[in-house]
Formats: sequence, structure tokens, C-alpha cells
Amino acid sequence: MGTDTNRTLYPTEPLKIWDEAKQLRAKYFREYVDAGKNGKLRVLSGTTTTPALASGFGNDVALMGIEPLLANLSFHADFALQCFIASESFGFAREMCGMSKLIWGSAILNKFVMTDGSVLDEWPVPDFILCLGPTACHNKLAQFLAEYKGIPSYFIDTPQYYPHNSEHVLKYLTTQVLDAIEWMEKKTRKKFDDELFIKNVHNHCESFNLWSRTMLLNQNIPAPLDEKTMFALIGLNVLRPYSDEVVSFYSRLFEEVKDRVSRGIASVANEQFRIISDAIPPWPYLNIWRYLEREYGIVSVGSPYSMIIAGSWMFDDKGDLVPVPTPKQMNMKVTNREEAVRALIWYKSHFSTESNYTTASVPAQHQLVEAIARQWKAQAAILHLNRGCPMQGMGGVESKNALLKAGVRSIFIEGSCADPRELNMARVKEEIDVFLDFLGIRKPAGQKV
Amino acid sequence: MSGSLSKFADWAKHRHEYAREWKRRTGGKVAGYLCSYLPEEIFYAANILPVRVFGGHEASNLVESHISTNIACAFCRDCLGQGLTGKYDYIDGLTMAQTCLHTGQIFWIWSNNVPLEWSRFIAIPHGTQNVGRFEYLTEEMRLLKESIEKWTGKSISDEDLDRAIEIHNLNRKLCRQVYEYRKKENPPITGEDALNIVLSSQMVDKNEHNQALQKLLDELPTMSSQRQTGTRLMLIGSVNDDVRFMHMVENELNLPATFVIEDTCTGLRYFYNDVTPQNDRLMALSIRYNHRPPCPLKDWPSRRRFPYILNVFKQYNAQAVILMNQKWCSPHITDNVPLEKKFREMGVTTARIEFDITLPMGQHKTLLEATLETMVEFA
Repeated sequence: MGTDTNRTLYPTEPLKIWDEAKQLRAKYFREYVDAGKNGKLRVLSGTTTTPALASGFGNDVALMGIEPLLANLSFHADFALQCFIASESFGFAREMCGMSKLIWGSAILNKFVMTDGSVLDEWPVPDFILCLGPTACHNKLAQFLAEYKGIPSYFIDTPQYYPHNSEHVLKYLTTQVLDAIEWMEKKTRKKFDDELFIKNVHNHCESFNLWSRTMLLNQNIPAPLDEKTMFALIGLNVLRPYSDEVVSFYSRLFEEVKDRVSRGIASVANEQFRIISDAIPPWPYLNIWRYLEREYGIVSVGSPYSMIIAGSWMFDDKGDLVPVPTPKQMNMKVTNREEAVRALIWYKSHFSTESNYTTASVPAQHQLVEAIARQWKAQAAILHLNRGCPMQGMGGVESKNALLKAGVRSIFIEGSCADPRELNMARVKEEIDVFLDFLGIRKPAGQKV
Repeated sequence: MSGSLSKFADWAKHRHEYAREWKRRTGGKVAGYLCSYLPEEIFYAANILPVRVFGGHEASNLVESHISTNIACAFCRDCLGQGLTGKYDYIDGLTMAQTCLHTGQIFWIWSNNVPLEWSRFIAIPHGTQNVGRFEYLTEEMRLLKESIEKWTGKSISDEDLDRAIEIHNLNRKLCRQVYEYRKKENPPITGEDALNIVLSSQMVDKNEHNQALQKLLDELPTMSSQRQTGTRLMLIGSVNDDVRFMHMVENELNLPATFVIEDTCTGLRYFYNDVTPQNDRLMALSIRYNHRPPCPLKDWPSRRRFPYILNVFKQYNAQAVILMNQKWCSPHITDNVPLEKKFREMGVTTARIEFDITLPMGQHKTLLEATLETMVEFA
């Protein structure tokens, strides 16, 4: 099998909304840091359902999610290294959860890095931590922070997700979340606005649904989006998915991507080969994706991480991955707090925000990887064996096996979503080159896109 | 070693032979399980022998095809290796009570790759302090009971559950009574003995185990220690099934030492609390398993585990602490750091040790001897 990578195939143009994504993210980081002096509540939230919960206190909330916090920390590798030295000097072993050590390290150093790389001389202490961990590790991460900095905290337990999100699971979650809201009211001495919360729940689900539908568009050949671009677009849904601003953003993103598809606009002009990846990427080394695009015309069309962290998915009767309909689309009755909580829990208990990697969902995760490769027309996979996250790394080999059974060849690149020391770029490039050579894909002579 | 104590050691060593013989003798089914959060009573009520899966301390070249060596917990990889190489070929079913990601992953790999009549993942909650946990776990237990009934073709009555709960509570009580002797100035039972007692409890018919415990309890009042107790150690950490390690510490160091107590799931944590019987038997089980001394992953937002550990440390007059984690065990690595700080603030000597499928005994010996020597020097 050979591919012709010697000519530009598709028209391409930059994504118009790209800059806005960066600006909004920077804005939210600034709001979080400045919350104290602006009289707002500063809330550190777990990655999943909890952003919407805190939003019931309205514009008084400046929220930071653990996932975008991790991504930003890790992306700034020099600062990340200092964080690791701090947490390892504190006593935490090299091989444990990298996300935990990275975030802890920042708190131990009492420093905070902004999206532009500037380092602040104070770690902004949240007024409270609200965490719904896809695994117990997330709650342990938050527990250490809560103890170390004396922060009130509430942790919500989700023992299982889709496809095991049955009635008693939803009831358990709903009970906890309602309790969490009462706890927040007591801690903040503020009234939770149920009407606003209902609106924000619908917004949250809409933002996620829009991302999922945008991802469906990437099944198109050529792909209108590449995965490195997607990494910059997912952040808002793990920061403020409930806000009108973010709904508007994803709505316009969807329209722009739809337009790109109608006009045949490619993200990678010389798209010749499609792959998927997996797991949180090695944030300091995202130029791996550009290396593939530039040198080989290979586009990564998505992954169980980039598609699901900011979306909500399920299997249909044919075994295809489809977006979960929103509570509004399902005509769910959402007229009070309990119904709103229930609707949000139901929506987020599907494949949403890393729930696919949790223990109960393991077999479904491997089915999901195969479905993504098939539906998004990937011809191979370059999987990140993420040593920074046991939740994701644990199932990596079996995902690879599932892909092989489906006829999709793959390799691992070993690295970490958190620790810049864990990836050797020269070696990774060589391994990729050898893999692609094995697949019969050659670097075009003299071509630069 | 007394005859009674050697019985437990023999069971632990010849676990597979025991289970095979039990099957032949009773015609019953065996369910392998991962993690001590399993509600064994429900299986026992169905006349199924629950057998905890342990590693063989043998590296296996089959494991790497399913799970990466440089991510997954050493103990879990060892267990998986045992499964893939057929060491547990006598088990009819496999089950898993949710705790950590590592055991979860190997459960699914094993279920997918080794022929089994039955398998089930039980999503035990992590939020053992959270509202709604009792009702949630009760429902999980009900679903488990239904699944077992479907598997065996027989229903499990309240009387069956009562019988199972009684036998398991008796086992816990007898283990606690045996452990009282470890509080003595010169305990007649070593840490190695205690480990064999608890390991075997997780492998054999509880009724038989109770009889052996009773026999031991009859002998203990007149049993005296034949060795120097030395420094009284507490072992805290991940699952420990390394009898050889315990033997090394208690017999081969250049200064005497004895493990007088431990917080591991093959120790006191396994039998610390009973099931309090009530009309709703499954709710009674739910309360017991939610309230047992927690694994780190189930110990939030408040730490129930640390006060329990400090209390036990004092009760057993321990003098130093060995904090252990299996390699790649995030939960215990996470907890061991603040726990060690607590002990150090109390002026208690600590040492941290990492376990793997096979142990570098020489290195561990050097570390532990140095630890004991600092205690003697600064005593």
C-alpha cells in the first residue's frame, strides 16, 4: 500500500473561531485568579458534572476545572517540571497519577501559571472544591488539596457509568448532588438560584450536544478539523459549559464546521491518511500531530478523549456511536431543582467527560475505540500510552487489541499527559516513522504544506 | 510453628489443591474474587466457595499482551498472570468488588480471555461516607444475588443468608480473638503466622477455618513465644500476600523485629467489623461493607482511615511503621505520604518499601536493618 503525498489535494483555511477559543479560555483563567478581588466565589471543580452545579450561584462564580488546569500546567513544561520536583520532594512517588502530582506541586510551590505562561506568585485558594470524580482518584486528588490548603470540599461518588447507568445509579447520584447543593448554600451563605440552574443545565447539555454533533462532521473526508485543533476547542466545555457565552461559541463552531464540510475545506490540505489517537495527549508535545500532518499528510480525526471529554455519547442499536439527545430533545420534564439535577445526571452518565475510561465501562471502552476508528474512517491509530493517568493507561493495550481485531493497526507512543520527562521526542518520531513505513506511507520528497 | 498454626500456612501454600479437593468433596462451585470488598456472604449462602485470587510471585510473559508493565500494579499483574497461565482453572466464576482501576482492568481482561461459566463486576461505591450509599449498595447486592441465583439455578433464602452471615461473623470474631494475643509483650504469633491465618481465611471454607481458629484459641493461652520479639512493627499498605517477606523481617534481620499488627486487606481490616443482623439482610451487608475500615480509595472526604490506624498502632503497642505499596499502586502511594508525616510528627520511626512481583530481599533487608539500627542508636 502506498500513498501519494506529493500534491495538495484539498482547499484549506484557518478556523475563524480559533482565536475566540483561546481568548475565552484566557478570560476564564483570569476571572478565576481575580475572583477574590472582584467579590466572586472562586470554585475549583472536578472535570465532569460539577461545573453546572456551582453555576446555580450565578454570575458570582468564577470556576476552574481540574482538566483545563492540568492541560495548562502540563503545556508549560518548565513550570510543570518545577511542580513535579515539588510534589516528589514532598514524598509522592514517581509512578503515581501525574495529574495529581502536577496540580499538587503547583499548590505546594504556591504558584500558578496562566495561559500565556506567566507565573503568578500565589496559588489562588478556592472558596470550596466540588468534585465528581469519574474515578476515586480525582476525589483523592481534591482531598489532598483540601487538607493542604484548608479548603472546604464536597466529593460526589459515581461508581459506574454507561452502559451501567441504571436507575439506582442515577438515584444515588441525584441524592448526592442535591445534598451537595444544600452544602454549598450553607458554606457560601448564598441562595441557590433554581431557575438559573435549570437554564444552565439545558445550556450545559446543549454545549455538549453541539460538540458531539461537530465531531460527527469530522467523519467527512477531508476532515474539517484536526485533533490538535480540537484540543484547543474542548477546554471551554470543561470550564463553563453552562454559560450562554459557551453555548454561543459551540453553536457558531458547529455552523462554521458545517460550512467547511459543505465547501470541502480540509484542516490538513494534503490529507492522505486518517488516524485516531487515544487518551489525554502529552500536552507539551502536541507538535507530534503537526509532524504527522506536515511530513505525511496524516490527520488525526479524533479520539475517545477529544470527542468524549466535551460531548455525551451512546451506542445505537447498530453499535454506532451517536450523540446522546439532550433532556430538551427528550422532552424531559425539568421544572424544579430535583428534575434539573436528574436530567443533568442522566445526560452526563453516558459516555461523557472521561466516563468511558472508568472501571465498570472497560469492555464498552474497547468497543468505543473500534467504533470511532470505523465511523471516522481511520486507517490506523497512534495511541498514547499515558503513564500520567492510570485510568486511561490501564486499558491501552486492550484498546489496541480491539483495534487489531477490527483490522486497524496501531502503535503506542509512551508518554504522559502531565510529566514532560516521560516522553522522548526523538524516539517517538522514529517509532512513528517506522510504523508508517511498515504501513507503506512514505514522506513525500521535498513537499512542505 | 505449632500444629494449629501450620494448618493455616499449609492452606495458604496449597490453596489450589484445597479448592480442587473442596469441589470434589462437595460438588460445589468456586468463585474467584479480586478485592476484599466482596460480600462473600452472598456467595457462601449459595454454597459457593469464594476464593480470593492472589499472585504466585512469578512473572508471566502472557500479561504484557494485555496490560502494560509500566502502568499496572505489580500485584494485579501477578494475579492476571496466574489466571492466564491456568493456575485458577478450577474456578467456575470470577467476580470483582470495585476498588481500584488496576484490579478492575485485570478482572475484565481475565473475563474476556479465560473461559468462565459466570462473571460479574460489582460496583461497590467509593463514597462510603456519602448520602445514599447504603441504598445504592443494597441494590447492587440484590442484583448480585439475582445473578448468582440465575447462575446456580437455586434461590438464596433469608435463612441461607443468615447462616452465611453467622459463619462469617464468627470467623471475624475468632480472628479478632487470635489477634488479641499479638498485643502481648512477647506475642506467640508472628506477623507471618497472622498473614497465613488471614490469607487462608480468604481461600478456604469459613466453617473449616473457624474450627481451625477455635483449635488455635484453645492452645494459645499456654503457647509461648520461642523467639525474641524485638522492635514491634506495624505494616501499612497495599494488599500483602508475601509470606516470604514477613519471614525475612522476623527471622533474618540482624536485629529482632516482629510485625504485631497491620493495616492491609490481608490483615486486621478484613475482619475488623461484623455484619449487624437486621430484617433486610442485604441492607445489613451494605452497612457492614460501607463501614469497614476503608481502603484509601474509599476514604474521603474525611479520613476515617487515619484515626483508625493511629488507634490500632497504640492498641498493639507498635513502635515503628513500615509503609508499603505495591509498585504502581496510586491509592496507597497517595495515602502513605500524609500518613507518614503524621507518624513522624508523633516521633514514630517509619520506613517506606515498594513491593513487586518478586522482591529484592537483599535491598529490603538492608533498608529495614538500617531502620532498626537508627531506633536502637537513638533509643
